[in-house]
Amino acid sequence: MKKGKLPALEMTRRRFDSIALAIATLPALLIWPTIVTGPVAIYLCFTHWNDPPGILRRSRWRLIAAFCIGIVQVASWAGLGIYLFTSRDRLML
Amino acid sequence: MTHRRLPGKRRTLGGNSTLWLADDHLLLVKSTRFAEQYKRFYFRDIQAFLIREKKYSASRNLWDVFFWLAVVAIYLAHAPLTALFGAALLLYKRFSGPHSVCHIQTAVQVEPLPSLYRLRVAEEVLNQLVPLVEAAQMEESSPSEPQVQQS
Repeated sequence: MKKGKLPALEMTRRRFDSIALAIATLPALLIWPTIVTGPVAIYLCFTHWNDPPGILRRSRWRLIAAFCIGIVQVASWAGLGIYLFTSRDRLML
Repeated sequence: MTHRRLPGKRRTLGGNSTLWLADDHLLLVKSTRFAEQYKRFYFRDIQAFLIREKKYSASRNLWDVFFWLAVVAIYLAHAPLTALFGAALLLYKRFSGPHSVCHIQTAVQVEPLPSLYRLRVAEEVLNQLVPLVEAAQMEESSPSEPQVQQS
């Protein structure tokens, strides 16, 4: 049985949705860490999407927001990488 | 089992504390943003709720006034609207009714209930809880009453 399936026995619970959202948003203040934390946020969203809801049921908006922000960060870094790579080729020509 | 949140929420820098009501127990939730800790108090186990009004000393009040005036004076020079809004909010929080300290007592522990830090809220919550606790304990005690056997 998956951990946390029996809410009546639960004493503590880690809120991975809040963790994922914090990982997606707080490092964005410094910009550079998002190259690592963006994929980590996406990874957390995937791994904890099916977590048991717990005693106090919460919606998944935090996970969805973290996923969207993570995707934007990864896409931004990928876009920047492609731009730099192609512009370098152009400069070399 | 569904839980209903009771009035009162104690926010601190590290997280918050709330009380939730279920069919047969009271749930104290202490949240540290990224983790939650649960404590259940079954109605049949509750022995007492302890409430006392929290009095602030004269020196504490003076420090408060000095601190708020200092904050307002600093901010007024730069951002008057923000300063007035902040000052109004702080004064409201400081003077919106007496503070209280509330504990719950069972046979094995006396646990603070941080969310009931306003006397008005504490009384409101206890008005909801006491009938439930009494009903649960009446239900609990009635079958265990000694039976009188006649020979």
